[in-house]
Amino acid sequence: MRNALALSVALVLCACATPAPSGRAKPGPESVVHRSNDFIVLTAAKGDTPAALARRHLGDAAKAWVIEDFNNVREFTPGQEVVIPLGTPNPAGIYANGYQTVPILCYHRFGGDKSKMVVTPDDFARQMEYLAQHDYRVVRMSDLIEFLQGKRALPKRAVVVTMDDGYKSAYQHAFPTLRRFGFPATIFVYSEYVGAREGLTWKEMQEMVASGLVDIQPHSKTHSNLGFAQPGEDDAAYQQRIQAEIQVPLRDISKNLNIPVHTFAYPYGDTNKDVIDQLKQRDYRLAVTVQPGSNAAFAYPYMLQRSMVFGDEDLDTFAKQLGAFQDVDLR
Amino acid sequence: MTAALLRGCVALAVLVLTACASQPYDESAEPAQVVTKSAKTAVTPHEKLATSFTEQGLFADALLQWKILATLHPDDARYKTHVRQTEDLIAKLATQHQRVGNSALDKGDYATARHELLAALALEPTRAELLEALRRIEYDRVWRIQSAKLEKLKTTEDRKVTGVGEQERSYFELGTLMFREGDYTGAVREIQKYLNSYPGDPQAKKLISDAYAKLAAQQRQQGLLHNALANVEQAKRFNTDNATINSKVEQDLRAALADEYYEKGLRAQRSDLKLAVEMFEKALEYNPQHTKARLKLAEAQRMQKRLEEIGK
Repeated sequence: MRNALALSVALVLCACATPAPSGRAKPGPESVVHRSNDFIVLTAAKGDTPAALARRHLGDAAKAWVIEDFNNVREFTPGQEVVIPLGTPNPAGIYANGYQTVPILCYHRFGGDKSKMVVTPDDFARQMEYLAQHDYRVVRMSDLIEFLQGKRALPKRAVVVTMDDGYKSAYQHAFPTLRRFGFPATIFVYSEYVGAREGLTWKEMQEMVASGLVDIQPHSKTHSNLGFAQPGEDDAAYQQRIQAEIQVPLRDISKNLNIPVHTFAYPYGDTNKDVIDQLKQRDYRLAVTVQPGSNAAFAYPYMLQRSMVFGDEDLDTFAKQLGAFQDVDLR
Repeated sequence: MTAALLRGCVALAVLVLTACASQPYDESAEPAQVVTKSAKTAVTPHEKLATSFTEQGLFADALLQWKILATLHPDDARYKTHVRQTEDLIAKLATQHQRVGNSALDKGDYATARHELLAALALEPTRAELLEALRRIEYDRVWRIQSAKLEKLKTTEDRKVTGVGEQERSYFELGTLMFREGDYTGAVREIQKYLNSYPGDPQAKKLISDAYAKLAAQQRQQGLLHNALANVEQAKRFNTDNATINSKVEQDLRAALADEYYEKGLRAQRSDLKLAVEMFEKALEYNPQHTKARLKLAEAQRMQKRLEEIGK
């Protein structure tokens, strides 16, 4: 129904379009019809693109998606009416026919020996291509912070890409593909694996961070399961272990990469109230599990769901994990 | 107010608002203002859309269309009226949905509460308190899933594990592969990751013990006696019955380490008595039966005492 609605809006808006009078070919403020506190309504001139209009009217070309999503088009024809929302009318993405959900994909290793936990570089490239071709917009993990506070809208079909453990193959195989598509991703590393034979080095991580595409966030110190005390571990020792597992990677990442730390990935996806309390004390804003599923704006930020991408699954199975909207009739 | 009654109110509101919106557009009523041609032609489709959305009960969508019309025609009072009427209706309906939702929440009827709070948010998407109320329901849902998983993990101690998680299974498989390929460091790391979730699995404990034993043997050959002994101890920790780690292997390592420290003590005795004492003590730590080290320790301590007396 949501698609039908969007289509009807697009049809109506296209019907509104009148050919651009000669002499109005140059893009610029003269194409503005009207402005209110809520909207700018203008007639697209030749050369007007969503990015150009976003730069001109919203002050940031990266906000092109705001215009594209509202008008339900990716490009304009001269004379077409364009409505630019000036505020954030629906930051949580909740509509009468359902609500937006953001899938977070979780990869581990990449390599030629395909197995459950190893995705081949070709398959990864095909999956990223699928996202690009099907109008998914890969957003940063940190973009979810304000989305979950109901303060910031995300593009329709927003998706987050993450990789766990910090395997060197993320640098060797995934990073070139991310660069090719211009997709951001978050790599969760655990401190003791940094510099191991198949582990990322700080130098490799620095290079990826410098690209502006890759964010490095903590996945514990030793990859121990934080969900429960180990046999023979008393409560004091357990609390101390949680503290070290949370604090050490935060310190390491801050020191070696000089980037803000905001999201923790639980080893094995397991957590409990003690762990969450300690994360809050250390100013972590988000934490991710491996409970499969997508996240609405009202998701609990310290137990975000993530869907694991397995190497032995085909593209159809991959596509099924990309639930970006939950249909519900809310009228 | 029940959900059924609320639906009745919505239907009535649709009738009223649709009647208002369907009034014919009076060109003469348009204020004398400079409106571009494209703005004029845009009016009818947006108005149709607004009316259609209202008829379908899609009030938030209708409101956007009225606001676009008010943007295009800022001096046309009718659109401002439509905006205000739709906003009033939305506020009223959202409050009603919220009331039904909160009441359901109090009764523990999470399904109804969730639906009603979502309906309220669909009407007023910026209401932060609604988002928080929904988040409490969501927290309860994900927490129940997590608790069930932890409960299952706790019950798997010291017995064969079934229904292992995908991630853990893959760590175990990777560890087994690395063990077969002779990468014992990698095998230990991956199997330990599996054991972090299933600490009692006897099969994994045996495998990691074997990997530690193999590592110890390699390190013994390379002369890395300390590392070898530490790994022997780990191998025993995971499997006390490990056949490759019999008491002789550990005794031999301890004896070799004791000899190494004894030799260091002898070398230090000529120039640094304090260090020599430390080395002989270390040698005895590894092998309390090391007679030569015991004799040399006594000798070094005597010399040390004598030197101290001379110094006084």
